[in-house]
Amino acid sequence: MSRKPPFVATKLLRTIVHIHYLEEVEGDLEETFNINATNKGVFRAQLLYWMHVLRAIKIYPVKRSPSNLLHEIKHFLFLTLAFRNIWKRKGTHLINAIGLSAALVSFIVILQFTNYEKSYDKFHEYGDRIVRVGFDWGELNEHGENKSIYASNVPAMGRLLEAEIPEIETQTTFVPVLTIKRSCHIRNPQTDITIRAENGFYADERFLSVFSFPAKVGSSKAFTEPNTVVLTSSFARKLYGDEIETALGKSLTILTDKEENFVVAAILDDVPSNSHFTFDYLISYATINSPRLQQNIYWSQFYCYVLLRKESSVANVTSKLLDLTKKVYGNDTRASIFLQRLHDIHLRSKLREELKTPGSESIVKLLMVVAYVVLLLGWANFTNLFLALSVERIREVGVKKILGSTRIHLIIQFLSESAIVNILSCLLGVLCFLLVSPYLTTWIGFNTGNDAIYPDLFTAIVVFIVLGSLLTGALPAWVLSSYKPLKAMQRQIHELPFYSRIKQTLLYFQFTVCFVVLASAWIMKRQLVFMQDADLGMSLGQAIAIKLPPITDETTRQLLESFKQDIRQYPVVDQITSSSSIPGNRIIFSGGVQRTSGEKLEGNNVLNVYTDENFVKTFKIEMLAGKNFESTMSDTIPHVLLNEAAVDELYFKSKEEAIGEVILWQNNKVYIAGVFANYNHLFLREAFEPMMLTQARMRHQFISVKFKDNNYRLTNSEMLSLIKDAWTNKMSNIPFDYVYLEDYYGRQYKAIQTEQKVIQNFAALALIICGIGLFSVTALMIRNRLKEIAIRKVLGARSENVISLLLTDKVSLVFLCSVIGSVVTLLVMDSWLKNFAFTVHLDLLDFLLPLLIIVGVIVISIGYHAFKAARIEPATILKNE
Amino acid sequence: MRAHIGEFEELVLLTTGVLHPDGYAVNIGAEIEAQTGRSITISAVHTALHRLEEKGYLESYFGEATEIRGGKRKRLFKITNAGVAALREIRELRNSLWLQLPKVILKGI
Repeated sequence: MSRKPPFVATKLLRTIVHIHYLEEVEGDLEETFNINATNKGVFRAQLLYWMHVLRAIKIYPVKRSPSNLLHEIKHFLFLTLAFRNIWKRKGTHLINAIGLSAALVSFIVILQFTNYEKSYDKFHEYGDRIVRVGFDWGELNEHGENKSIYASNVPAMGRLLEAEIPEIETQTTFVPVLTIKRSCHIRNPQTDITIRAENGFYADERFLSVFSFPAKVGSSKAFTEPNTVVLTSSFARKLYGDEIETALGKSLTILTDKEENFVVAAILDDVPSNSHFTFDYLISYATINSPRLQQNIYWSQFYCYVLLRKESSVANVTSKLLDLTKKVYGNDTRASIFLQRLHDIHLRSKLREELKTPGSESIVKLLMVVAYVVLLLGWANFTNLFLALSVERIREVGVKKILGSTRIHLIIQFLSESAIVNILSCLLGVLCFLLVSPYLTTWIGFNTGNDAIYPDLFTAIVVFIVLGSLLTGALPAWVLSSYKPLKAMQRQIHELPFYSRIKQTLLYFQFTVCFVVLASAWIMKRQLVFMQDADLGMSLGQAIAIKLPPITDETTRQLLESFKQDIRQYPVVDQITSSSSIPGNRIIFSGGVQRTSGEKLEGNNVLNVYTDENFVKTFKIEMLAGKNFESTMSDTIPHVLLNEAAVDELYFKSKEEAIGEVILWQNNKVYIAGVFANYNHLFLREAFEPMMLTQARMRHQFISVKFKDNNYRLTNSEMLSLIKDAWTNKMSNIPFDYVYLEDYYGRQYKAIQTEQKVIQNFAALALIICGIGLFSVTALMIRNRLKEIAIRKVLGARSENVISLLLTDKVSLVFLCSVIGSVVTLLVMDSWLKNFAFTVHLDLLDFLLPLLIIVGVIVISIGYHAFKAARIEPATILKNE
Repeated sequence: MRAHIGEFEELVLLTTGVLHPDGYAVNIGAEIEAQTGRSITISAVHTALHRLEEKGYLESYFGEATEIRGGKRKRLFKITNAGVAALREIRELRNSLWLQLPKVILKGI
């Protein structure tokens, strides 16, 4: 054992004993220790020494005299110092602030959006107890997938649930008007205003007590009678003008397949945009209700929501559902029902018959990740820059410490510097956000909700950012302030080894992120372009579709026919066809098919479009075998055309074999006249489904008009007005409601376009932030290497040598980032592409391009400084020594 | 009024006088231990010394540094006139009290 007082104890003594008494006390204790060591042995002496030190704690006054720290804080000296220091490096700090505020702006924007998406259906008072009951028929298609899971349910289910399961307080059933009726118009008989009204429900009287849609005028209770309606304010305004109160109790006419009069029972506030279903009006369920409907257990297009009792849980109810279905559908049924929490519907549910295009949880998650990564990138920049600056400031620390600064002084000073930069960039960011927020929807391509800013969220974000960045500022502050004065003064330190590694890691992280988003954006773009440019197996160019109301009477049908005859004469019109569906429109008719010969076929499903002989010609669909429909319809048996997928589905050995066969579609005999090539009725996300065209005069919902290639130099609007005139001429009572087929089909791409645009914008942002970071870090790094460069130049290096020297530094950065980035991208994009039936194939170019862009960014951000450094005059640098 | 002096402080003050002019915490503590047989901790001596210095009965200055102290200087204490006066006063007070003790008590001892 060494004959020395324990070091730790001495250290402790030094911290606790006032500097004024330290020398004598330490001396006395050491002397006692030495005496004790001689008399009593080293070990006991050490124990005693410890004891003495510990006693010193209570005996001596605190170490430091009232520090001048307080004085500094009181007179804002540290702020003055901080401003001075920032001003001295204003360029660097400005860049830093810009990068950080860019990160902040995007963080706020993204959180706005994700919060909006998450706020769906949160406005319902009993939202946490409302549960939707979905229906699963349990039928598998030919790929073994279950596509028969419905968001909706059968009409009888609500009552059954309420009767059988005591945990259910009440239930409500509603059904979209268009499920029951083919079309719907509403007329105000006083003013004769008629408007198209397709967005409404038949809803029962419990609808308004389960959901919270407060009534503006009238009472939501008065909704039990048949032939009553409830309107939303903005819809009522369309019908009755601004004084909607007057509408109460008035009657209005609803035109569906018949005309009926209704009484307005109440006017509701508009449905918030963050509701997973919206409606313009509600018609009392009693209007359509009948005992037959109430007992219907097969029509799964009614929506059933139940309100659970307070004490019951979803799991509890779920366990009782199986018994219920068995009771209703028999023991060996494949059908089942299931529950979905109201709050989960918007983001998590993607079933058949969803009421609104659901949000995508994956997008929300992706965006959250993006938001935080952007913030991380910003912070990484910040820390990096601070660390880079710290090299320059070691001497400053040394001098300050020698002049009596304590560590706390220094930490406070550095922190206040970082706080100032942070707060400034926060202000800048918020300002930018306020400036750009009105344009966000158009720029970014998603809706952030009506109220542009959620105030709580806003404060939370700002606090979060300031705190977070202070924390990032704390690391360099801690590091810098820890330098021993002598060491700091001794020699010029160019790099702090450990911290330069942190710096490197942060850079690697930043550029890997850049690589991944760039590559992802590129691949998504490719997929999008691929889908839009792909050969769809048909042509939609130069064509419009006119939407038809259901036509029941023979006169209208004749008028329609004569309208078709009329425009067929026009030289600009190439083809004209009427059909129950058009490309881009989900086919609603579908059913199982049987062959009249051979084995019984199980569980198939063939989509059916009712149309005429011109469908194939209008959309330029290729016929592979057999013949198109004759222009005169067969009276005995409907003729159909199958696509290739349907031929396979029916196990015909060849297309030719199918021709002339008679098959049963939903137990109706049809005659196969021909086979046409598969075409993408829906966009390329969907696989080819078995499909057939049935020649029919009924159930047509669209008239599609294809124009000839424009030989007549007419503009689109001129051609359109020709058609419109012909229409109003013949069909004066039906509004001319048309779409361009290409636009109609293109709507399907919107979600993916949004997704792609988000990622693309994010990629640009990430590149900018990282570029800015690299730019300023390089500036500092090169400043520290100026002498080295000068000496190299004296020894004969040329400018290009210097530039390449500085650039090759970053080769490993590029290499490593692209390797890690490629792997990540591959994993992410592969799973993304699995959503699509038709996809692009990933190839090397997908990874080379982001690589090139990143190299470009790196070269630009370093190049400027490298170029400047390469042109220095060595003498001016070296003469300072 | 004269500041109060505790019993231990009085001992320290007296011992400082005894060791004049070389008294410092370690040898004062050792001297008290030797004279009284009590065990004294050095921090107790430190406290007493500094308190007496605050009261003006002692004055201190730095002495020489020795190897045994690891090169740190001693703080040597010297009794001031006020200190001597205080001691004298205490002694006089004691004496006068002694003289007033009834003979009976003294006899018993």
